[in-house]
Order: sequence, then structure tokens, then C-alpha cells
Amino acid sequence: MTDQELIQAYLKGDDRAFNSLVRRYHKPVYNYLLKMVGSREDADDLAQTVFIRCCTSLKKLKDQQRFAPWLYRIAANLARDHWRARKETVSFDQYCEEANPLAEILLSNDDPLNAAAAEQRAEIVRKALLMIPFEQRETLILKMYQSLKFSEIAEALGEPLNTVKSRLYYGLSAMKKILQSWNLEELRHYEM
Amino acid sequence: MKCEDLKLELPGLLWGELAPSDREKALKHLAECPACQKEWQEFKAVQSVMSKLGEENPLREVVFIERKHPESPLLKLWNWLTSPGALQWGLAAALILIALALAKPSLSLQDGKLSFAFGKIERIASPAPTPPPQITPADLEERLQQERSETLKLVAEVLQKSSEEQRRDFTLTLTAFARDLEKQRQQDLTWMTSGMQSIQRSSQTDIMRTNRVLEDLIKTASYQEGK
Repeated sequence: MTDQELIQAYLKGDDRAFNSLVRRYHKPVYNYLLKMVGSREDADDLAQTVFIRCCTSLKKLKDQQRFAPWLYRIAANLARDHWRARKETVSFDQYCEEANPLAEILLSNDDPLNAAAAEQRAEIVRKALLMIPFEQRETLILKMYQSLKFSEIAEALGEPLNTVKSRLYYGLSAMKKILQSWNLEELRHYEM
Repeated sequence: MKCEDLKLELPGLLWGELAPSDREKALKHLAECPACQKEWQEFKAVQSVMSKLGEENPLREVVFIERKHPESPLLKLWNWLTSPGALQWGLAAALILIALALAKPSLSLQDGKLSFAFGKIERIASPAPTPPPQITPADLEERLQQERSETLKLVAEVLQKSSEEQRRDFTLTLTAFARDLEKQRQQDLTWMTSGMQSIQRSSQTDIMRTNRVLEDLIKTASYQEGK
């Protein structure tokens, strides 16, 4: 069933339809929040809140075909509020100047199929994401991992299309700079 | 295309969201500009690295408990009434009812048959049952014309009535205004009259006093001459 059909079934009183929607979107929303806030426990709590808000506000959704951008809008707002409440900052310059111990382990491991190396690479990317500005991060994650179109991202974040493109450009530039400063293998042959 | 213009197009090029003409311009620029070509290759490498970040399973499952008891009939009715579909149907039904009310439908029983029409139906003595007449398009047209002219008559009556009422109201207002104006005029006249009277009185008094003074002067002058 499509999202729209599930929503209509739920609004007519079929609670199982809503659980189907939750099963469909729980993992993507959780992973989006995990990349946004960097903590598994926080992402888990936030994901629950997202679906609680979704449940109570679903009647107000005007265009049921645009459920995904609407859901990610709720998630983005929660992530933003959570991030601001934490008030933790990671200094980009500080990381650039210091050598990243993880990168050393990566460089010493030549086997790209090694699961541990893959996990380390993943950890580097997660950390790098947390270092770029919040707005660039949320835009980049929605494009890179949630595969939303530019127009859907603009709708989810309530921003113009050009702002989305600009944030993607600067987000990619910031990621490139961080990953190059950590001497990540794939970017090693490009000069900084 | 300039390097500055290409910057905003690079994400679209990376994720295949550029229009064909824009894509062609971007690729042409990349072929001609080594700096932009380098940036493009770096972005592709970053995208490749980032794409290897897998997804994790949530720590806990989110399940909404299904309601065990059916909704109360009242709640069901309320949910149905407030659902978008029901609201649209309700609006449509309300519009139809308003249209029917304005068209003044009437229902009557004739010869054991229920008949429904817009406008008045005249009850006529039913003759011996005759076969139903054939209704031609011309008859329908005539009937429609009749209904139209009746409606126009009704509208004209309503307009006339409303203009008569308006005229009556206007007359009443004018009459009241004229009455007030007359009252005011009378009041002004009274004030003017009393004002003039008091001026007259004081003038007479002054004149009499002046006369007296003159008489005294004359007497005094005559007396002096007599001396």
C-alpha cells in the first residue's frame, strides 16, 4: 500500500495502518537523526517523538502524497531543537590541526574489505558530519542518505531551492576539507 | 558558464538533478576548466566515501498499541464528520439544499402519484385517466421559458418591494429631518426676536435718556440766555 492509502486507512480507524507506516519509516528516520545528533540513545528517543507527533498531527496533513517530506520536517525540527539544547560545539580548526588517531588505523589497514576498517571509515564520516554547520549537515544527509529530491528537501526544511543547492555545495566542500585534513585514503591524492 | 555559476550546479550534476541543457553547459565548462574539474573529482570522491556509511537498526522498536475497544459511535461520527472527504460531501450537500430551497420545490400527490416540481403546482380536477402526454423538446423549452419568466417576475417583485420599502424609509427620514429643521428654525426665530426686542428696549432707553439730556441742555441754555 502507498503512504496515502495507509494514511487514509488510519484516519478511518485502522491502527494497523499507522504501525505499517511506522515500520516503513522508523529505520530511515532513526538513521537520519543519528547522523544529525551523533548519539544512538538520543536518536532513538527523538525517533519515538517524531512518530508520536506524526500520530497526533496526521489529520492536519493536507497533501497525503507528500508524507515523507512532512515527516522529515518534523524530524529536522526536533533534531534542530535538540542540537541547540545540547550547545555542544566541535571546533573544526581544532580537528584540522590535530592528527586524527582513527585515520592512522585506517592508513595501516590496506584491506578495504576488512569490516573493522569499514566501521572505522564510517565512524570518520559520522564525526566529520557532526563538524560541519548544522544546516549544511541536515541538507546533505537528506540528499545523501534519505534520497529526497532537491524540491522535497526544500519542502521539508522550508527553504528555497537555491538555498538547498548552496548548502549542499558548501556542505560537500566542508566534508572534503575535513576528510582531506584527516588524510582519508580516497582523498589523499587531491591536494588541499 | 562561469566558475561561480557552476558551483550551484555541481550538486545537481552529482545527483543527476540537472536539466539536460544545464548538464551540457556544466560538462562543457568542466572540460575547459582544470580547477572546477578538480573540485568535481573531489566531490565525487566525498560522495563515494559518504555513501559507504551504512544504516543501523534502531535500538528499540516503535509500536503503537492498537485500540482494543471499538470507538464509541459518537467518536466515530465525529471522526467521519471531520475527515476531509466528509467535509467535502457535507459542503456539497449543503449547497444542494440551499439551491433546492431557493428553487422552491414542491411535492404533491395527484391521482395517487407523487409529483415533484420547482415552483407552484396547481391542483386541477383530475379528469378520467388519459394516457400520459408525449413530452417533446418544444414542450420542455416552453416549460423552461415559463419557469424563467416566473422567476424573473418574482425577482422584479422582490426588487419593487425592496425599493418601495426603501422609498418609505427615505420619506420617513426626510419628514423627520424636516420636522427637526422646522423646530430648529422656530427656536432660532424666537431667539432672534427676543434678541431684537432686548436691543430695541435698550435702544429706546438710550434714546429717551439722550432726549432728556438734550432737553436739560436746551433748558439750561434758554435759562442762560434769559439771564
